[in-house]
Parts: sequence; C-alpha cells; structure tokens
Amino acid sequence: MIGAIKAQVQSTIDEFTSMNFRQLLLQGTNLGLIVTSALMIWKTLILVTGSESPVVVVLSGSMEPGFYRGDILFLNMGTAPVRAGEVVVFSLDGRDIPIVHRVIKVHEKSHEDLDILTKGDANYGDDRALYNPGQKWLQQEHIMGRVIGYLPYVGQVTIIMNDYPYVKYGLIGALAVFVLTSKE
Amino acid sequence: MGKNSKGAPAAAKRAAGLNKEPELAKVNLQDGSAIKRALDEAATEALTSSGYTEDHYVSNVKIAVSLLLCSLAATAQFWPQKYPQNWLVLVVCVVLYAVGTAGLSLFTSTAEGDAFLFLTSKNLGQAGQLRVTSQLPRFTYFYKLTIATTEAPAASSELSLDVTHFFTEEGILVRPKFETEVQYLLTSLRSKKGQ
Repeated sequence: MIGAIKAQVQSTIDEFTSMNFRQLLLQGTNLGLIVTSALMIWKTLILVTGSESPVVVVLSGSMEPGFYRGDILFLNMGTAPVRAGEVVVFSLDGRDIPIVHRVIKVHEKSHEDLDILTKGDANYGDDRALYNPGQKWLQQEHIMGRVIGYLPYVGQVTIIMNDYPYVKYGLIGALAVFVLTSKE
Repeated sequence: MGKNSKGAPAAAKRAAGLNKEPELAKVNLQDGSAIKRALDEAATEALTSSGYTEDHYVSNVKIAVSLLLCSLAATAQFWPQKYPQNWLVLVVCVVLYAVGTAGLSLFTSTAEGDAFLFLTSKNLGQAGQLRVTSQLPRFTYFYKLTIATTEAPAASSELSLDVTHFFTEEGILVRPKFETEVQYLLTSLRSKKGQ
C-alpha cells in the first residue's frame, strides 16, 4: 500500500521534471485560469447581488430552529430599506466574521438614515452585547445583505476546513498537483 | 559464465537508469491519450531534428493572454477599496476578463485546433510554416498524423498508422520505426510542394 503511494508520488515528480519550462508555464497558467475564473464568477455574483459576500455559512446556532450551523445562505442586498423581521447578515467595524441575525427594531429618520437593532432567534438578549463598545445601533452600511434562500448542511465542508486548516491545504494542494500534471 | 549472464540485465538496467532516456519510458497501453502523447512527442522530436524549428507563436500568445487575465483577477481581488466603493474596478475587471477568456478560447480553437506542433523551416529553402495535427479517436488503434502548410502553396500529407505496430508489449515505443514513417511523411509533403 505504501509502496503504491510512493510509486504514485515518484511518477508525479517524474512528470514534473520531464516537462520543460515552456510546458510547465503552460500548465501553470492553465491552473491560474481555472482559479481566476472561479474568482471572477464570485466577483460577478457580488456585483449582481449587491452584497459584499453573496454566500455565507452559518457558523453558530443562534438562529435555530430556522438556520442551523452548517447551512449555506444566499444573500441579496437590494435597494429597499431594512425592515424589522428580515433576517440580515451584518458585519461590525473591525471584525472579519459577519453575523446572521434577525432585525427586531428599526428607527428611521430618513430612507438613508436608519438605526437597526438585531437579535438572534435563539439568543436570550439582543445583539447589543455583540456590538462594539458604545455602539447601540447598526447603520445601513453595516448590513451586507438580506437572506433570500438557503441550502441546509452543505456548509459543513467549509466549517470542517475552517476548524482543520490542514484539510484545506491538503485539498488545494492535491487539486493543484492534479491540474498541473494533467495533460489534457 | 553464469555470473556474467546474471549480471548483464542488471547492468543494462543500471545503464538505462543513468541515461534516463525518455525512449525507454513505458506507456500505459490502456490509456489512449498517453499513447497519443507518446506518439506526438516522438513525432515532434523526429521533425525538429530534420531541419525544422518549433514555432512558439501560438504557445506564446496563450501564455501572455493567460498571464494578463490572471493579473486582471489579481487586480479585482487585491484592490485596496472594499465593496461597494470598488464596484467600478470590479465591473471593468469582470467584463475584460470575460471578453479575454472568450477571445482566448476562440484563438485556441481556430489557430490551434488539433495541432500539437508548429514548425518553421530553418535553412532548407522551404518557405512558410508547417502545421502538424494528429488524431487518435477513442477505442481505435489508428493514429492519423497530418502535416500541412499554412501558407500558399497549400499542401498536406497524412499518415494513418496502426499503433499496435509501434509499441512493444510492455508499452515501449519503438522509435526508429516510427521516425521512419515520419520522415516518409515529410518527404511526401516536400514532393507535393514541388520541391
């Protein structure tokens, strides 16, 4: 078994060394095109939905029983003002990870000037405990999008890759080797 | 006496390992694309050593355009502004990328197509470029090699070979036999061009 793996690794290495520089460049740019085309599709999705992050994974159980950890959510921003009852994804200044909760209060001074309060369905209290110190309300610009659809369970893969980074590196490495050595 | 006969195959193996000659590389005979690759590489070697040099134009264009497209994507990804302030940069990059990718596909399918090699003549007085294409359809044993000129006077020669005649049972390509066929193809093209 180990012998077979060693043989496979050796043959992969041989394939690399047997390619001349030009072929390596061609295969490398091929890999680059595959990666960048995925990236550009993502960017197009950002432009179309108007949301900074059109697809998010639910990381916590604060919205149960509506959304569970590992669900994938599809977001759209739209131009309508935020209203109470909508499930939104917002990001706080200085934090990377966006949060998915429901809007429970909206104070509207004008269409552009809103004070928004959110709360997770399964949480006891509202989100003021999560906001930055001294912040009592969210503004429109903190809202990244409204939830317009979801896929259950599919996001577990992302969570596993987040919790165990070596899985992520291993997968990407294997994919890269596969593309670079395929001579199609 | 007995010792010598046992030592000979081991010595040959060592010699082959030291040389690392690609001719002795085994090809998986169940894999049609591996067979085609081996034949294409052998044809390339045979042709480039007959007074022709490889023309890298198509390959250069592909590499250059791909690098350009990758840098477009890098710009879109690493622009210092966040969405939605950078939306214009995003739109420009996405549109240019889409156009560039479509253009590259078009170029590859028209200029390259089936061809795996482009040649220009070095010094033998023959004008113009040659385009070498090959086909090995799935589940068949017939490898078709075609050499054609890309400029006037238009001429082309093709060769259909049964691949089973050129590989040993272990999957080693018998190069001299194949190279003879390639040379024959080349001379028949030259005679067609009225050399």
